[in-house]
Amino acid sequence: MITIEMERLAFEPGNTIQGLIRWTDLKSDDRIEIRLIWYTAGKGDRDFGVVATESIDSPTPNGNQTFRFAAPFYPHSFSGQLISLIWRIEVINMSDLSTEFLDLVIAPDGVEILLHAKRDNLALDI
Amino acid sequence: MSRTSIDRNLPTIGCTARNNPFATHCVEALAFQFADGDWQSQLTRLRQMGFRGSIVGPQGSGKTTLLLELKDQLAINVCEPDQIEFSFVSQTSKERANQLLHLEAALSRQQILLIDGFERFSWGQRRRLRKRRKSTGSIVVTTHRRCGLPVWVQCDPNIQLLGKLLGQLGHPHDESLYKLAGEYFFHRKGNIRETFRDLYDEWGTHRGQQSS
Repeated sequence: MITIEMERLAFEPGNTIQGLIRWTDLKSDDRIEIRLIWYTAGKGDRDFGVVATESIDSPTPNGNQTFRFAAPFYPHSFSGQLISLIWRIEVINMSDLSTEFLDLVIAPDGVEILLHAKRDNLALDI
Repeated sequence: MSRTSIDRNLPTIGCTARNNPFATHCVEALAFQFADGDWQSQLTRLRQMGFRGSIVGPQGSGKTTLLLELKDQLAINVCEPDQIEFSFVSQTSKERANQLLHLEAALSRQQILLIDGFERFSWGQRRRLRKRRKSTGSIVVTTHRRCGLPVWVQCDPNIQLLGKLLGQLGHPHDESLYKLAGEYFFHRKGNIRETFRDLYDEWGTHRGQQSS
C-alpha cells in the first residue's frame, strides 16, 4: 500500500512542490515511480505531459521517502466548460501498475484560472 | 491580440470540465463489464484459445477499453510487458502497410499482438497476419465484425449496461438522468461513448448549474 502526504496542494510557478511517500508490504522486486504530470480533462481526447520523475528502486517492504519538484512556469492550471488542465502528483508501483495520486494547482497566486463563458458573447482566457 | 477576460471571481456557467462526471478521464476510468465471468475466468478462456481471438462489437461498445485492460492483465499475470505489442491500426493505407511489417516482425519474436481496429486492414493483410500467427506468436484484435479469428468477447451494449455504468459514475438513483441517458442511447443507436458525450454537454450546460 502506498500513500502520499503533502502539506499543501496549491503552488505558484517556481515554488517547490514537496511531500512524503509512505509504503507498506512491498515486494523486493517492486519499483516505485513518482511523477509530476499535467493532463487535460474534458469531452474530447486527453492530452498529458510527464514533467519530472523520481524512481525508488528495490524499496524495503515498509518505508518512506520525501520527494521534491520545482513547480513549472507553464502551463497554468485552468478550468472551463470545455476543458480543464490539471496538475497531478502520481505514484505508481511499476510491478502491478497500482497508482495513487493527488491533484495540484499550479498557477499565479496558487489559484486555478477559471475560463468564464458568457452565453451571448463567448470570451476565452488565453 | 486575443481578447481575454480572466476573472477568478466570476462563476462559470454549468460546471467546469474538471468536475463534469462525463469527462473523458472519468469515462475512461470505468472498468469493462463482462456479461459473464470475471478477469480470472476470461483469462483462462483466452489461454485455452492459445491467446488467439477477437473482441467483436459495434462502435462505442467498449472494445478498446477491454483491449487496454487486457494489456495490463497480460503484463501482470501472463508475460513480461515487453512481450506485448499494442497497436492502433492507422487510418492511412501507407502507414498500415508499414504497421503490417512491424507486426509481422513482432509475431516472429513470439510477442503477443494486441491490435485495435483490425477491420482497417485489407482482407489480404488480415489473412497474412492470421496465417503468420499460426506458426508463431499470439494475436487478439478488436473488430466490428467477425474476422476469421475465434470470438473471445462479444460486446453487446444495452440499456442495463448503460445503467450500470451510470451507477459507477456516481448516479445510481437519478431517474431523470437515466431517462435522458436512455433517449440519447437510442438516438446514438447504442453507442455508449457518444451517449456519454451527449451527457457531458447536458451536464455542462444545465445539470452542473443546478447542482452548483
